Amino acid sequence: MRRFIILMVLFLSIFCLTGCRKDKEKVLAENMKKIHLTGNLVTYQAYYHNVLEYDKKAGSGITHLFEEDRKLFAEYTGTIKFGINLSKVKIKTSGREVNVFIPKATVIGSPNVDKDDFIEENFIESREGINKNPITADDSAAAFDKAQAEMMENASKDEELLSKAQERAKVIIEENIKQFSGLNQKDYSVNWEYEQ
Amino acid sequence: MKNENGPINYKLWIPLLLIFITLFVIFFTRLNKEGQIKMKVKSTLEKVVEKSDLETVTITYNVIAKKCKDEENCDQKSNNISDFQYVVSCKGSIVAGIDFQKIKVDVDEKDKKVIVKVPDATIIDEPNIHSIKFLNGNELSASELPNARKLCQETVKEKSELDQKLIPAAKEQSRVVLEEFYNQWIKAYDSSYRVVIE
Repeated sequence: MRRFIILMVLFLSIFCLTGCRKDKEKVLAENMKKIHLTGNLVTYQAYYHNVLEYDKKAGSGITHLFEEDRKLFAEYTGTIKFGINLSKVKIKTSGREVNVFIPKATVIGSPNVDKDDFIEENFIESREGINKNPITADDSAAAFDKAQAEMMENASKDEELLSKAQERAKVIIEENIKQFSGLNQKDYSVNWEYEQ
Repeated sequence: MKNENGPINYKLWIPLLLIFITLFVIFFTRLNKEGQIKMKVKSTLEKVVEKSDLETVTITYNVIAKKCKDEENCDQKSNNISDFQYVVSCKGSIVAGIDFQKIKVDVDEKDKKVIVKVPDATIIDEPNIHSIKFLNGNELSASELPNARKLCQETVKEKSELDQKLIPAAKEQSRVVLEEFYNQWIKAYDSSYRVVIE
């Protein structure tokens, strides 16, 4: 009789543990499906203070006689956002493991360069010919466009900031998983895969 | 059960007692909820700041620095390069920081808002100069390079301190991350609330 009771207790314990384990896996899998990942997640906004070099070519025609090519320099400021496309994040569960794929961070939207930095007074000029080859509104607009393009190019190549933005995305998603999991952190593990 | 004025009216007292207990429970549950959210926001804040490296931000700070021909008689505002001994384009960076110990968290129960107040950023340390380019066309002698580097350092420091957009931008940088973090976080914690970063 005593042996029978011990066997019953053991059987029930094993049965309960297996049941609990399966329940936790099910809970985790179901809760992970509740995480909705759409749109862009901005994780870094960088501020830049830059120097622009702009070549102003001499004009053609009688009014531009004796003009010389000039080099113009201007300081400008702007901000640019980095982040990830949430729809590219993949969250999959396997037992009590959560496998997460984080896409590479990219520049989100266009750079926001301050147009007021390109007024005539802000340009530092190289030299003037007999005919001045003055800075016009078109030059200001072209310099602004160049600054926008330059900032975009530099930011897209800035591996340090891109990696920081990706890491911050991980922190946010990790917290999301923690909140939605419905389990104690000890009951599951998260594996991270980063797009290089 | 009787008292001096007659029997106790249970029909009146029991409902009143029940109402009182209900109000008491509602009041303390609400109070507790406010405290809970506040505490939870603060504890997750520490984690997100630490993991996201939010306390400091390195800012690219490139400037144009002008070396006067005659220090006594020099117009720094002149835009003509030939008015100066040399003009250099300096590639530099500065580090700004936010003291996250000074962050305040408030809960507005009425409007269902969690308000996180971020303190102002400050510039930390001396600027770093990474490279120098002379804009006059001619390269200067090697002996002038340390002076030009020093000039760059001083100019970056001076301009960054006067830069009205820098501090708000450094603060904005933290705001963007905290807002994204808490918007995701509150959805799972209690979607009836929204988080406002100020």
